[in-house]
Amino acid sequence: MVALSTLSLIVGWSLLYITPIFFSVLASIFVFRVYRKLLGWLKFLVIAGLLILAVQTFTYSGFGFSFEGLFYGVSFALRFLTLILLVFIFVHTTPTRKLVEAFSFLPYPLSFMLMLSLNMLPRIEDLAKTIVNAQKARGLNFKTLNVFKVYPPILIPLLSKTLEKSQQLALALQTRGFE
Amino acid sequence: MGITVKNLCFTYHGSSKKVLDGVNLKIEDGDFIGVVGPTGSGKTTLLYCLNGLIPNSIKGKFYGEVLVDGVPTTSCKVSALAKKVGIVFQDPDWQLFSVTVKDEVAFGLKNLRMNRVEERVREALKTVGLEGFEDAEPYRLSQGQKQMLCIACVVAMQPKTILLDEPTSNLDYKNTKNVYGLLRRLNREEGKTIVVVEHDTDLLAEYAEKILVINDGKIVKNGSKEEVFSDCRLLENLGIKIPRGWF
Ligand SMILES: Nc1ncnc2c1ncn2[C@@H]1O[C@H](COP(=O)(O)OP(=O)(O)OP(=O)(O)O)[C@@H](O)[C@H]1O
Ligand SMILES: [Mg+2]
Repeated sequence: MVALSTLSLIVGWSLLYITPIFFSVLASIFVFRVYRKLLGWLKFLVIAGLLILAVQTFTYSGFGFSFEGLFYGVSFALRFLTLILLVFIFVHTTPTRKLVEAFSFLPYPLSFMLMLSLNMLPRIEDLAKTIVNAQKARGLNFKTLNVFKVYPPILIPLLSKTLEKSQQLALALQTRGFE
Repeated sequence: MGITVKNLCFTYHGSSKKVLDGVNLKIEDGDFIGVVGPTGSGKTTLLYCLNGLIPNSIKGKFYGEVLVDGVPTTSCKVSALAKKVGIVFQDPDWQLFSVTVKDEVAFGLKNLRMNRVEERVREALKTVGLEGFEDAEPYRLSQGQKQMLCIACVVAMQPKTILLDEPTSNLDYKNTKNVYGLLRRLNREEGKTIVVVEHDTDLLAEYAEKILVINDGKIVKNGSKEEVFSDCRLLENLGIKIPRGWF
Protein backbone atom coordinates (compact mmCIF):
# COMPACT_ATOMS: atom_id res chain seq x y z
CA MET A 1 0.00 0.00 0.00
CA VAL A 2 2.82 2.36 0.87
CA ALA A 3 4.64 1.46 -2.30
CA LEU A 4 1.51 2.05 -4.25
CA SER A 5 0.86 5.51 -2.89
CA THR A 6 4.52 6.48 -3.33
CA LEU A 7 4.25 5.39 -6.90
CA SER A 8 1.15 7.38 -7.61
CA LEU A 9 2.83 10.34 -5.97
CA ILE A 10 5.76 10.04 -8.35
CA VAL A 11 3.45 9.62 -11.29
CA GLY A 12 1.38 12.56 -10.14
CA TRP A 13 4.51 14.67 -9.88
CA SER A 14 5.75 13.78 -13.32
CA LEU A 15 2.30 14.52 -14.63
CA LEU A 16 2.30 17.92 -12.97
CA TYR A 17 5.77 18.55 -14.27
CA ILE A 18 5.17 17.52 -17.85
CA THR A 19 1.74 19.10 -18.26
CA PRO A 20 2.86 22.77 -18.21
CA ILE A 21 5.67 21.95 -20.64
CA PHE A 22 3.20 20.22 -22.89
CA PHE A 23 0.84 23.15 -22.91
CA SER A 24 3.58 25.71 -23.44
CA VAL A 25 4.82 23.69 -26.40
CA LEU A 26 1.28 23.50 -27.65
CA ALA A 27 1.00 27.28 -27.30
CA SER A 28 4.20 27.86 -29.24
CA ILE A 29 2.67 25.95 -32.14
CA PHE A 30 0.40 28.95 -32.50
CA VAL A 31 3.09 31.50 -31.78
CA PHE A 32 5.25 30.07 -34.55
CA ARG A 33 2.27 29.67 -36.87
CA VAL A 34 3.08 26.12 -37.85
CA TYR A 35 -0.39 24.84 -36.99
CA ARG A 36 -1.44 24.70 -40.59
CA LYS A 37 1.33 22.24 -41.33
CA LEU A 38 0.57 20.34 -38.14
CA LEU A 39 -3.07 19.93 -39.03
CA GLY A 40 -2.34 17.13 -41.49
CA TRP A 41 -0.44 15.15 -38.88
CA LEU A 42 -2.86 15.79 -36.05
CA LYS A 43 -4.87 12.61 -36.44
CA PHE A 44 -1.75 10.44 -36.52
CA LEU A 45 -0.43 12.14 -33.39
CA VAL A 46 -3.71 11.69 -31.56
CA ILE A 47 -3.87 8.03 -32.53
CA ALA A 48 -0.27 7.45 -31.47
CA GLY A 49 -0.94 9.23 -28.16
CA LEU A 50 -4.09 7.21 -27.47
CA LEU A 51 -2.27 4.00 -28.37
CA ILE A 52 0.46 4.72 -25.84
CA LEU A 53 -2.16 5.61 -23.26
CA ALA A 54 -4.11 2.42 -23.87
CA VAL A 55 -1.07 0.15 -23.82
CA GLN A 56 0.16 1.68 -20.57
CA THR A 57 -3.26 1.63 -18.92
CA PHE A 58 -3.94 -2.01 -19.63
CA THR A 59 -0.51 -3.58 -19.28
CA TYR A 60 0.99 -1.68 -16.37
CA SER A 61 0.20 -4.22 -13.67
CA GLY A 62 -0.40 -7.41 -15.56
CA PHE A 63 -3.09 -7.41 -18.17
CA GLY A 64 -6.07 -5.35 -17.14
CA PHE A 65 -6.98 -1.85 -16.12
CA SER A 66 -5.03 -0.05 -13.43
CA PHE A 67 -5.01 3.52 -12.20
CA GLU A 68 -1.22 3.64 -12.01
CA GLY A 69 -1.16 2.53 -15.60
CA LEU A 70 -3.57 5.28 -16.52
CA PHE A 71 -1.36 7.85 -14.83
CA TYR A 72 1.72 6.49 -16.49
CA GLY A 73 -0.06 6.36 -19.80
CA VAL A 74 -1.13 9.99 -19.64
CA SER A 75 2.33 11.01 -18.60
CA PHE A 76 4.05 9.01 -21.34
CA ALA A 77 1.65 10.10 -24.01
CA LEU A 78 2.15 13.75 -23.06
CA ARG A 79 5.92 13.33 -23.06
CA PHE A 80 5.80 11.67 -26.43
CA LEU A 81 3.61 14.40 -27.90
CA THR A 82 5.78 17.11 -26.35
CA LEU A 83 8.82 15.65 -28.01
CA ILE A 84 7.16 15.28 -31.38
CA LEU A 85 5.73 18.78 -31.25
CA LEU A 86 9.09 20.24 -30.25
CA VAL A 87 10.83 18.53 -33.13
CA PHE A 88 8.03 19.66 -35.40
CA ILE A 89 8.36 23.31 -34.37
CA PHE A 90 12.12 23.12 -34.63
CA VAL A 91 12.14 21.63 -38.11
CA HIS A 92 9.53 24.00 -39.44
CA THR A 93 10.96 27.21 -38.03
CA THR A 94 14.66 26.61 -38.70
CA PRO A 95 15.90 26.85 -42.29
CA THR A 96 17.92 23.78 -43.33
CA ARG A 97 20.79 26.09 -44.15
CA LYS A 98 21.02 27.28 -40.54
CA LEU A 99 20.83 23.73 -39.22
CA VAL A 100 23.59 22.58 -41.54
CA GLU A 101 25.77 25.55 -40.59
CA ALA A 102 25.30 24.73 -36.92
CA PHE A 103 26.68 21.26 -37.48
CA SER A 104 29.54 22.21 -39.79
CA PHE A 105 32.08 21.57 -37.03
CA LEU A 106 31.56 17.85 -37.65
CA PRO A 107 33.89 15.99 -40.05
CA TYR A 108 32.80 16.43 -43.67
CA PRO A 109 31.24 12.99 -44.30
CA LEU A 110 29.13 13.33 -41.16
CA SER A 111 27.97 16.88 -41.79
CA PHE A 112 27.30 15.94 -45.40
CA MET A 113 25.14 13.00 -44.35
CA LEU A 114 23.26 15.23 -41.96
CA MET A 115 22.72 17.86 -44.67
CA LEU A 116 21.56 15.16 -47.04
CA SER A 117 19.03 13.62 -44.70
CA LEU A 118 17.67 16.99 -43.55
CA ASN A 119 17.39 18.15 -47.12
CA MET A 120 15.61 14.98 -48.23
CA LEU A 121 12.91 15.31 -45.56
CA PRO A 122 10.66 17.69 -47.54
CA ARG A 123 10.83 15.34 -50.52
CA ILE A 124 9.72 12.40 -48.40
CA GLU A 125 6.98 14.54 -46.88
CA ASP A 126 5.75 15.47 -50.36
CA LEU A 127 5.91 11.83 -51.40
CA ALA A 128 3.80 10.92 -48.37
CA LYS A 129 1.23 13.56 -49.28
CA THR A 130 1.03 12.24 -52.83
CA ILE A 131 0.51 8.71 -51.58
CA VAL A 132 -2.14 9.80 -49.07
CA ASN A 133 -4.01 11.65 -51.81
CA ALA A 134 -3.69 8.73 -54.21
CA GLN A 135 -5.09 6.32 -51.61
CA LYS A 136 -7.90 8.74 -50.79
CA ALA A 137 -8.73 8.91 -54.49
CA ARG A 138 -8.90 5.12 -54.48
CA GLY A 139 -11.36 5.22 -51.62
CA LEU A 140 -9.19 4.58 -48.56
CA ASN A 141 -11.26 5.69 -45.60
CA PHE A 142 -9.31 7.96 -43.29
CA LYS A 143 -12.24 8.44 -40.96
CA THR A 144 -11.82 5.00 -39.47
CA LEU A 145 -9.49 4.87 -36.50
CA ASN A 146 -8.40 1.35 -37.35
CA VAL A 147 -4.65 1.85 -37.68
CA PHE A 148 -4.21 -1.55 -39.30
CA LYS A 149 -6.39 -0.39 -42.15
CA VAL A 150 -5.01 3.13 -42.50
CA TYR A 151 -1.27 2.73 -42.03
CA PRO A 152 -0.22 -0.13 -44.35
CA PRO A 153 -1.58 1.39 -47.60
CA ILE A 154 0.38 4.56 -46.77
CA LEU A 155 3.53 3.19 -45.21
CA ILE A 156 4.25 0.32 -47.58
CA PRO A 157 4.33 2.39 -50.78
CA LEU A 158 6.09 5.20 -48.94
CA LEU A 159 8.81 2.86 -47.74
CA SER A 160 9.34 1.15 -51.07
CA LYS A 161 9.31 4.45 -52.98
CA THR A 162 11.75 6.05 -50.54
CA LEU A 163 14.02 3.03 -50.86
CA GLU A 164 13.89 3.18 -54.65
CA LYS A 165 14.52 6.91 -54.70
CA SER A 166 17.39 6.70 -52.24
CA GLN A 167 19.08 4.21 -54.54
CA GLN A 168 18.58 6.71 -57.33
CA LEU A 169 20.12 9.38 -55.12
CA ALA A 170 23.12 7.16 -54.39
CA LEU A 171 23.69 6.77 -58.13
CA ALA A 172 23.42 10.52 -58.62
CA LEU A 173 26.02 11.13 -55.89
CA GLN A 174 28.45 8.72 -57.52
CA THR A 175 28.11 10.26 -60.95
CA ARG A 176 29.12 13.54 -59.35
CA GLY A 177 32.35 12.12 -58.07
CA PHE A 178 31.23 11.21 -54.54
CA GLU A 179 32.79 8.00 -53.28
CA MET B 1 37.61 8.33 -79.67
CA GLY B 2 34.00 8.14 -78.50
CA ILE B 3 32.26 5.24 -76.85
CA THR B 4 32.27 1.71 -78.22
CA VAL B 5 29.86 -0.98 -77.04
CA LYS B 6 30.76 -4.55 -77.94
CA ASN B 7 28.38 -7.45 -77.57
CA LEU B 8 26.85 -6.07 -74.39
CA CYS B 9 24.46 -8.27 -72.41
CA PHE B 10 23.10 -7.40 -69.00
CA THR B 11 20.79 -9.08 -66.51
CA TYR B 12 19.89 -7.32 -63.26
CA HIS B 13 20.84 -9.14 -60.06
CA GLY B 14 18.01 -11.35 -58.89
CA SER B 15 16.20 -11.36 -62.22
CA SER B 16 16.47 -13.79 -65.11
CA LYS B 17 15.53 -11.48 -67.98
CA LYS B 18 18.27 -10.25 -70.30
CA VAL B 19 17.55 -6.52 -70.26
CA LEU B 20 20.29 -5.86 -72.81
CA ASP B 21 20.91 -8.59 -75.31
CA GLY B 22 23.91 -8.37 -77.60
CA VAL B 23 24.19 -4.60 -78.09
CA ASN B 24 26.81 -3.32 -80.50
CA LEU B 25 27.18 0.42 -80.88
CA LYS B 26 29.66 3.11 -81.78
CA ILE B 27 29.12 6.65 -80.53
CA GLU B 28 31.36 9.14 -82.31
CA ASP B 29 32.54 12.39 -80.76
CA GLY B 30 30.11 15.18 -81.57
CA ASP B 31 27.11 12.92 -82.21
CA PHE B 32 23.60 14.00 -81.22
CA ILE B 33 21.78 10.71 -80.75
CA GLY B 34 18.15 10.18 -79.84
CA VAL B 35 17.24 6.84 -78.23
CA VAL B 36 13.69 5.60 -78.69
CA GLY B 37 11.95 2.38 -77.75
CA PRO B 38 8.92 1.04 -75.90
CA THR B 39 8.70 1.13 -72.10
CA GLY B 40 10.94 -1.44 -70.47
CA SER B 41 13.02 -1.97 -73.59
CA GLY B 42 16.26 -1.17 -71.76
CA LYS B 43 16.95 2.48 -72.65
CA THR B 44 17.79 3.56 -69.12
CA THR B 45 19.85 0.42 -68.61
CA LEU B 46 21.85 1.22 -71.75
CA LEU B 47 22.60 4.74 -70.48
CA TYR B 48 23.76 3.31 -67.15
CA CYS B 49 26.17 1.04 -69.04
CA LEU B 50 27.64 3.95 -70.99
CA ASN B 51 28.88 5.75 -67.88
CA GLY B 52 29.94 2.70 -65.91
CA LEU B 53 27.16 2.75 -63.30
CA ILE B 54 26.57 -0.74 -64.66
CA PRO B 55 28.44 -2.90 -63.71
CA ASN B 56 30.45 -0.87 -61.19
CA SER B 57 27.60 0.23 -58.92
CA ILE B 58 24.59 -1.76 -60.11
CA LYS B 59 25.27 -5.45 -59.94
CA GLY B 60 24.12 -8.16 -62.29
CA LYS B 61 25.36 -10.45 -65.03
CA PHE B 62 27.43 -8.29 -67.37
CA TYR B 63 28.93 -9.64 -70.57
CA GLY B 64 30.74 -7.82 -73.33
CA GLU B 65 32.52 -4.53 -73.14
CA VAL B 66 31.95 -0.78 -73.03
CA LEU B 67 34.97 1.30 -74.00
CA VAL B 68 35.05 5.01 -73.18
CA ASP B 69 37.91 6.60 -75.12
CA GLY B 70 39.31 3.11 -75.59
CA VAL B 71 39.29 2.23 -71.88
CA PRO B 72 36.87 -0.43 -70.57
CA THR B 73 34.42 0.93 -68.00
CA THR B 74 35.12 -2.06 -65.77
CA SER B 75 38.63 -0.77 -65.12
CA CYS B 76 37.52 2.73 -64.05
CA LYS B 77 35.69 4.07 -61.04
CA VAL B 78 32.31 5.68 -61.62
CA SER B 79 33.63 8.89 -60.09
CA ALA B 80 36.56 8.94 -62.52
CA LEU B 81 34.26 8.27 -65.48
CA ALA B 82 32.16 11.25 -64.39
CA LYS B 83 34.81 13.51 -65.92
CA LYS B 84 34.24 11.93 -69.32
CA VAL B 85 30.56 10.96 -69.36
CA GLY B 86 27.96 12.99 -67.49
CA ILE B 87 24.39 11.87 -66.91
CA VAL B 88 21.12 13.64 -66.18
CA PHE B 89 18.70 11.21 -64.51
CA GLN B 90 15.00 11.10 -65.09
CA ASP B 91 13.71 12.62 -61.84
CA PRO B 92 15.34 15.97 -60.94
CA ASP B 93 14.07 15.91 -57.36
CA TRP B 94 16.17 12.92 -56.41
CA GLN B 95 19.43 14.04 -57.97
CA LEU B 96 19.40 17.54 -56.47
CA PHE B 97 20.24 17.41 -52.80
CA SER B 98 22.11 20.57 -51.86
CA VAL B 99 20.96 23.53 -49.83
CA THR B 100 21.79 26.13 -52.50
CA VAL B 101 22.07 26.14 -56.26
CA LYS B 102 25.74 27.07 -56.20
CA ASP B 103 26.58 24.29 -53.71
CA GLU B 104 24.75 21.89 -55.99
CA VAL B 105 26.93 22.74 -58.99
CA ALA B 106 30.10 22.94 -56.92
CA PHE B 107 29.53 19.49 -55.37
CA GLY B 108 30.88 17.53 -58.33
CA LEU B 109 33.76 19.93 -58.90
CA LYS B 110 34.92 19.64 -55.30
CA ASN B 111 34.67 15.85 -55.32
CA LEU B 112 36.72 15.66 -58.51
CA ARG B 113 39.19 18.17 -57.04
CA MET B 114 38.87 20.49 -60.00
CA ASN B 115 40.33 23.98 -59.80
CA ARG B 116 38.60 27.36 -60.29
CA VAL B 117 35.42 26.05 -58.69
CA GLU B 118 33.64 29.39 -58.34
CA GLU B 119 34.43 30.44 -61.87
CA ARG B 120 33.20 27.14 -63.29
CA VAL B 121 30.02 27.31 -61.25
CA ARG B 122 29.33 30.78 -62.59
CA GLU B 123 30.01 29.70 -66.17
CA ALA B 124 27.80 26.62 -65.89
CA LEU B 125 24.90 28.60 -64.43
CA LYS B 126 25.30 31.18 -67.17
CA THR B 127 25.24 28.47 -69.84
CA VAL B 128 21.88 27.18 -68.64
CA GLY B 129 20.47 30.63 -67.89
CA LEU B 130 20.32 30.37 -64.11
CA GLU B 131 22.45 33.39 -63.24
CA GLY B 132 21.06 35.14 -60.21
CA PHE B 133 19.75 31.91 -58.66
CA GLU B 134 23.03 31.05 -56.90
CA ASP B 135 21.52 31.17 -53.42
CA ALA B 136 18.11 29.72 -54.25
CA GLU B 137 17.09 26.35 -52.86
CA PRO B 138 17.17 23.71 -55.63
CA TYR B 139 14.04 21.92 -54.40
CA ARG B 140 12.03 25.15 -54.59
CA LEU B 141 12.90 25.91 -58.22
CA SER B 142 10.37 25.37 -60.99
CA GLN B 143 10.46 22.08 -62.90
CA GLY B 144 12.13 23.74 -65.88
CA GLN B 145 14.75 25.39 -63.68
CA LYS B 146 15.43 22.13 -61.85
CA GLN B 147 16.11 20.35 -65.13
CA MET B 148 18.41 23.18 -66.23
CA LEU B 149 20.24 22.95 -62.89
CA CYS B 150 20.76 19.20 -63.37
CA ILE B 151 22.30 19.95 -66.75
CA ALA B 152 24.46 22.72 -65.24
CA CYS B 153 25.82 20.26 -62.65
CA VAL B 154 26.94 17.97 -65.45
CA VAL B 155 28.20 20.74 -67.74
CA ALA B 156 30.36 22.18 -64.94
CA MET B 157 32.37 18.95 -64.76
CA GLN B 158 33.11 19.38 -68.49
CA PRO B 159 32.57 15.83 -69.71
CA LYS B 160 32.89 15.12 -73.42
CA THR B 161 29.63 13.18 -73.48
CA ILE B 162 26.31 14.03 -71.82
CA LEU B 163 23.60 11.38 -71.36
CA LEU B 164 20.03 12.43 -70.60
CA ASP B 165 17.15 10.17 -69.58
CA GLU B 166 13.82 11.63 -70.71
CA PRO B 167 14.86 15.15 -69.70
CA THR B 168 11.58 16.77 -70.70
CA SER B 169 9.04 14.18 -69.55
CA ASN B 170 7.49 16.58 -67.02
CA LEU B 171 8.17 19.91 -68.66
CA ASP B 172 5.81 22.15 -70.60
CA TYR B 173 6.41 23.00 -74.23
CA LYS B 174 8.36 26.18 -73.59
CA ASN B 175 10.76 24.59 -71.13
CA THR B 176 11.13 21.56 -73.38
CA LYS B 177 12.19 23.86 -76.22
CA ASN B 178 14.64 25.58 -73.86
CA VAL B 179 16.24 22.29 -72.86
CA TYR B 180 16.61 21.11 -76.44
CA GLY B 181 17.89 24.52 -77.53
CA LEU B 182 20.55 24.23 -74.86
CA LEU B 183 21.47 20.69 -75.92
CA ARG B 184 21.84 21.87 -79.51
CA ARG B 185 24.16 24.70 -78.42
CA LEU B 186 26.25 22.34 -76.30
CA ASN B 187 26.49 19.98 -79.27
CA ARG B 188 27.25 22.52 -82.00
CA GLU B 189 29.22 25.18 -80.17
CA GLU B 190 31.07 23.15 -77.58
CA GLY B 191 31.29 19.89 -79.49
CA LYS B 192 29.64 17.82 -76.74
CA THR B 193 28.36 14.39 -77.62
CA ILE B 194 24.67 14.17 -76.66
CA VAL B 195 22.76 10.94 -76.10
CA VAL B 196 19.15 11.54 -75.12
CA VAL B 197 16.36 9.07 -74.35
CA GLU B 198 13.15 10.69 -75.56
CA HIS B 199 9.60 9.55 -76.23
CA ASP B 200 8.69 12.58 -78.32
CA THR B 201 9.88 11.71 -81.82
CA ASP B 202 8.84 15.14 -83.11
CA LEU B 203 11.53 16.67 -80.92
CA LEU B 204 14.11 14.17 -82.08
CA ALA B 205 13.20 14.79 -85.71
CA GLU B 206 13.96 18.43 -85.10
CA TYR B 207 17.04 18.27 -82.92
CA ALA B 208 18.81 14.89 -83.11
CA GLU B 209 21.05 13.75 -85.94
CA LYS B 210 21.11 10.02 -85.33
CA ILE B 211 18.41 7.75 -83.94
CA LEU B 212 18.80 4.50 -82.09
CA VAL B 213 15.75 2.26 -81.89
CA ILE B 214 15.84 -0.28 -79.11
CA ASN B 215 13.35 -3.05 -78.44
CA ASP B 216 13.54 -5.88 -75.94
CA GLY B 217 17.19 -5.16 -75.19
CA LYS B 218 18.28 -5.25 -78.81
CA ILE B 219 19.16 -2.46 -81.18
CA VAL B 220 16.70 -2.89 -84.01
CA LYS B 221 17.69 0.17 -86.00
CA ASN B 222 20.56 2.62 -85.85
CA GLY B 223 21.23 5.36 -88.32
CA SER B 224 20.60 8.91 -89.40
CA LYS B 225 17.18 10.27 -88.45
CA GLU B 226 16.18 10.39 -92.13
CA GLU B 227 16.95 6.72 -92.48
CA VAL B 228 15.22 5.64 -89.27
CA PHE B 229 12.13 7.84 -89.43
CA SER B 230 11.39 6.82 -93.00
CA ASP B 231 11.11 3.17 -91.88
CA CYS B 232 7.42 3.58 -91.05
CA ARG B 233 6.77 -0.17 -90.83
CA LEU B 234 9.28 -0.66 -88.02
CA LEU B 235 8.13 2.34 -86.00
CA GLU B 236 4.50 1.36 -86.45
CA ASN B 237 5.23 -2.18 -85.23
CA LEU B 238 6.92 -0.91 -82.09
CA GLY B 239 4.20 1.62 -81.39
CA ILE B 240 6.56 4.54 -81.82
CA LYS B 241 4.97 7.69 -83.18
CA ILE B 242 6.18 8.68 -86.63
CA PRO B 243 7.17 12.33 -86.42
CA ARG B 244 5.15 14.94 -88.28
CA GLY B 245 6.21 15.43 -91.88
CA TRP B 246 7.82 11.98 -92.25
CA PHE B 247 4.89 10.02 -93.58
N1 LIG C 1 17.06 -2.37 -60.64
C1 LIG C 1 16.41 -3.26 -61.39
N2 LIG C 1 16.30 -4.56 -60.99
C2 LIG C 1 15.66 -5.46 -61.74
N3 LIG C 1 15.08 -5.20 -62.92
C3 LIG C 1 15.14 -3.95 -63.39
C4 LIG C 1 15.80 -2.91 -62.65
N4 LIG C 1 15.71 -1.76 -63.35
C5 LIG C 1 15.02 -2.07 -64.47
N5 LIG C 1 14.70 -3.36 -64.50
C6 LIG C 1 13.96 -4.05 -65.59
O1 LIG C 1 14.71 -3.94 -66.76
C7 LIG C 1 13.88 -3.69 -67.89
C8 LIG C 1 14.35 -2.47 -68.64
O2 LIG C 1 14.31 -1.37 -67.79
P1 LIG C 1 14.74 0.08 -68.25
O3 LIG C 1 14.51 0.97 -67.09
O4 LIG C 1 16.11 0.04 -68.81
O5 LIG C 1 13.69 0.37 -69.41
P2 LIG C 1 13.40 1.73 -70.18
O6 LIG C 1 13.52 1.44 -71.62
O7 LIG C 1 14.23 2.81 -69.61
O8 LIG C 1 11.87 1.98 -69.84
P3 LIG C 1 11.08 3.34 -69.56
O9 LIG C 1 10.68 3.88 -70.88
O10 LIG C 1 9.91 2.87 -68.76
O11 LIG C 1 11.99 4.24 -68.78
C9 LIG C 1 12.48 -3.56 -67.36
O12 LIG C 1 11.81 -4.77 -67.63
C10 LIG C 1 12.65 -3.37 -65.87
O13 LIG C 1 11.60 -4.00 -65.18
MG1 LIG D 1 13.84 4.58 -68.50
